[in-house]
Amino acid sequence: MVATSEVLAFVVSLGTLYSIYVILSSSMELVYGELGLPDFAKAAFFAVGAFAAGALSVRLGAALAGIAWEGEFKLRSYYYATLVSAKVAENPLMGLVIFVVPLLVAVPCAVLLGVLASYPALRLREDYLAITLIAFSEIVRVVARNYEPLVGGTFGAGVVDVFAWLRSPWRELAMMLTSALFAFGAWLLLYRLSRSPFGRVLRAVRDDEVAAAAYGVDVARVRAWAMALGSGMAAVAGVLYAFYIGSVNPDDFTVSRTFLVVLMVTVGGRGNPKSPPLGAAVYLALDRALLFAKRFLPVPFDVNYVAYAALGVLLILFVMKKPEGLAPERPLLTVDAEATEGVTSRT
Amino acid sequence: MRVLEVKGLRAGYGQMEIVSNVTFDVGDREVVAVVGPNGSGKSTLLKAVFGLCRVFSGAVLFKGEDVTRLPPHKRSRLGMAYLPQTGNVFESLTVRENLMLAAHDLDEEEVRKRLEGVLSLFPELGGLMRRKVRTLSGGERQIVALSMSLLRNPSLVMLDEPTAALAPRLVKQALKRVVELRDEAGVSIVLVEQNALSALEVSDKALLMVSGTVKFWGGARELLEDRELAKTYLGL
Amino acid sequence: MLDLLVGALVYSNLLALMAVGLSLALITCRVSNFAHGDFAMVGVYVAYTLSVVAGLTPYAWIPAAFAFGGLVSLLAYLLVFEPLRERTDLVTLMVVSMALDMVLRYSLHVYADLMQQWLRVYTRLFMFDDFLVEAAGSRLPGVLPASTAVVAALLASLYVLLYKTRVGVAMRAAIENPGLAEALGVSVRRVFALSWFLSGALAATAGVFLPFRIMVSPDTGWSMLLPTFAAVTVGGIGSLGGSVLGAYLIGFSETVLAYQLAQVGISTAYRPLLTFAAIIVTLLVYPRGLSGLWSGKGWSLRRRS
Repeated sequence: MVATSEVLAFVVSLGTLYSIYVILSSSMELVYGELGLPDFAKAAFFAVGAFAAGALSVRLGAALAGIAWEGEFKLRSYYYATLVSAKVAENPLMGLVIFVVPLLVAVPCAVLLGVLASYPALRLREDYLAITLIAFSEIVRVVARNYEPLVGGTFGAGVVDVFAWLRSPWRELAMMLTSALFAFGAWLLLYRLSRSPFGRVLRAVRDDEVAAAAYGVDVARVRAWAMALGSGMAAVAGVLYAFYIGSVNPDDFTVSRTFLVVLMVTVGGRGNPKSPPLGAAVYLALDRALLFAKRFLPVPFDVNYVAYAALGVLLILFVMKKPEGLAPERPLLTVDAEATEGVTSRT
Repeated sequence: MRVLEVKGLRAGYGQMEIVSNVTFDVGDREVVAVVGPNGSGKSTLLKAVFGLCRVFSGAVLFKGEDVTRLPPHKRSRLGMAYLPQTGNVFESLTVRENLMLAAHDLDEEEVRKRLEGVLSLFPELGGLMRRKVRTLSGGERQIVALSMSLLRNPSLVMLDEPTAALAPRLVKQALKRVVELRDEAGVSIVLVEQNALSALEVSDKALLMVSGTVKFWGGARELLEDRELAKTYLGL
Repeated sequence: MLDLLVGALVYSNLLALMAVGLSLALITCRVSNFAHGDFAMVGVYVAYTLSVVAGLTPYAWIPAAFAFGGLVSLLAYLLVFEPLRERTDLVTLMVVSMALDMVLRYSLHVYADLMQQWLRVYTRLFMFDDFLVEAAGSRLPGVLPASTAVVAALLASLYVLLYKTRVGVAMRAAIENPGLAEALGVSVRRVFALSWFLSGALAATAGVFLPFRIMVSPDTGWSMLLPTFAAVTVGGIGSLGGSVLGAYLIGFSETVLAYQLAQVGISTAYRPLLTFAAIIVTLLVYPRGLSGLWSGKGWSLRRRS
């Protein structure tokens, strides 16, 4: 028998992860789905958030709690994370500060990098742009992996438990609710933007950059704005992810991570703001189903490998058989159809 | 038997129908001019006949055989040749390589024989053999393109605005040369032309297309003499 | 110093084979193929399996790796990229190739698990035993002459194929203008299939040399991929000659830079940064790459766009 608490823990953990992926895929949908800019450095913007939490939470916590630091960061960060978490257990306000400060640092950094990354789009064909952004993403990862003072290099970094002041099921529940709140906010932002005049401008640039410019759209500015927004969102997801996992490891932010998010948006339906929650659900359902299969199928190899291969097959099948995704993009009439008819009949 | 028969052809791209219910035919050694205003579907008609765009209904018969669903390279092997308006030569290849490619499915002996025939039609080709097509003039490129089609011994050559890249003073001369092919190479020709007057003067029959439909089908001379049609649609 | 030179040359040889293969995929179907590194790993595991089962040095199994790698790549073309050709946008093609990378890479992982139990050998982080040759008073690893000879032979054959045979003319024609080639009776599908076979075959051949220098696993293909992209980009996208040149430029500068970094006490783990930076700088500053300098002359195939 599986205990009720185990089921609850599973659901809560899944809910948190789902929320984080909804934020990430919303930001991908905004930039790639609506604007058509292949933001394949998504893992790097996600990493900026996680690295901010990894680099700051323990150091800040130690400073706030007055714990003197000894030894190298890469070797001691996990130890001090436990010490600081114990202090947070007595002082919820400290937990709040440790949670908010990385957000305040990460989001502006990611926004700045995002605006920077939007400029090559002016010169490059879209597939070369994607390769450029992938190269950029790998630079971020390789530097973090080797520059140990940042997040401990390959050792990784411990992260403070900011909800340590709550008891066990409530602690995880609080994490989930916080993530869900951010996820809902991110998705609502995407949804409203998509239905607004700005959303129409995004899709106009996506479909025909020159025509959009001819109608007075400042293409560079639109791209910069969308990338700023998308990257900021990814950084928020990164901060949440770090606090959820409880540690940060640079090798967690590979191009595969970006690919998974692209997969969610593609399967969900590029160009439709419903795609992020849909695609993230499909991905997690498949992922967890294969994890269950692992328990019951005694095969002479690691089932995880099959899971990844299956995801690859899934994406190829979608692009070939159902390229519009589960929720196809709908042409949108923001102006009342009757009103336009009135105009045409008068002329 | 007619070389080409097109019956009730409706064709276009995606869901869009550009050519509606077109019926015409081409006899042996006949020159048919397809004329009409810009955007009337002339080029799309040629593409549809050659299998390069979507056919919704109707049929294309080539030498009595139904080729409506055949891919382009198979139509080419049956003896149908199509010269698009642009991109009808390989720029990065030499003239010789272009010709070799057009004759890629023939044996050496046959290639030599046909090459001699083509060279007698276009003697100027001889001096260009080793040049890259990229370095040729517009007129020279047209000659290379035409030679490529003729090397395949086609029974039907379809030309999409062969004079588009030429200086106006060369147009008449070029069209005359195209029509000479009928006699010297023994082919039937379908000619899509913007220069309606020059084209009609050298053609046997004429197909006038307006907004994707046939407005006139008959003798080229009759169309020239129909003041009403010629004035409204061809500006003659 | 000699070691450095040997390392740079072998690495560049491998990159040259990889880069020419990647270019073939790019100029035929316009795919920035992220599964290209996996073709190399297919070659590694074919040669490894055969040399464990049937004996002989892995060098002897290069033809098998060539054929099998080509076959996998050919299947990728026929099942995935041919149906999508001219039907989808460039970024989607790239995303599909990333999906294909996942499929191939993790299939290789599964194979590695199975092979380990079947043959009782290490199937991850293994190396091949090399032979040594005496030259100019010093001992050189056999992979240097072996890879140099194979690269020279394959590139020369490819040149002859493309420029001296009818199939080659058809390939170049189909690359420049598939529609016209089709109109002249060339089966573009068949010609592109041959290009894709060669693309995978060259990568798989490069793969066989890899374990003579470094320890490999199914994931090693990915770490070869970005340097290959760098070689192709620096050389000029779409130019086969440029890709070869780019490969030697990237191969040598990466090796030398790593050596310099070690001299001043910086970790050589930063080595990949050079290739990433090379991609970004080339694309942003001079996107036509080296072949842009001789544009159109010599060994340069380009798709009209």
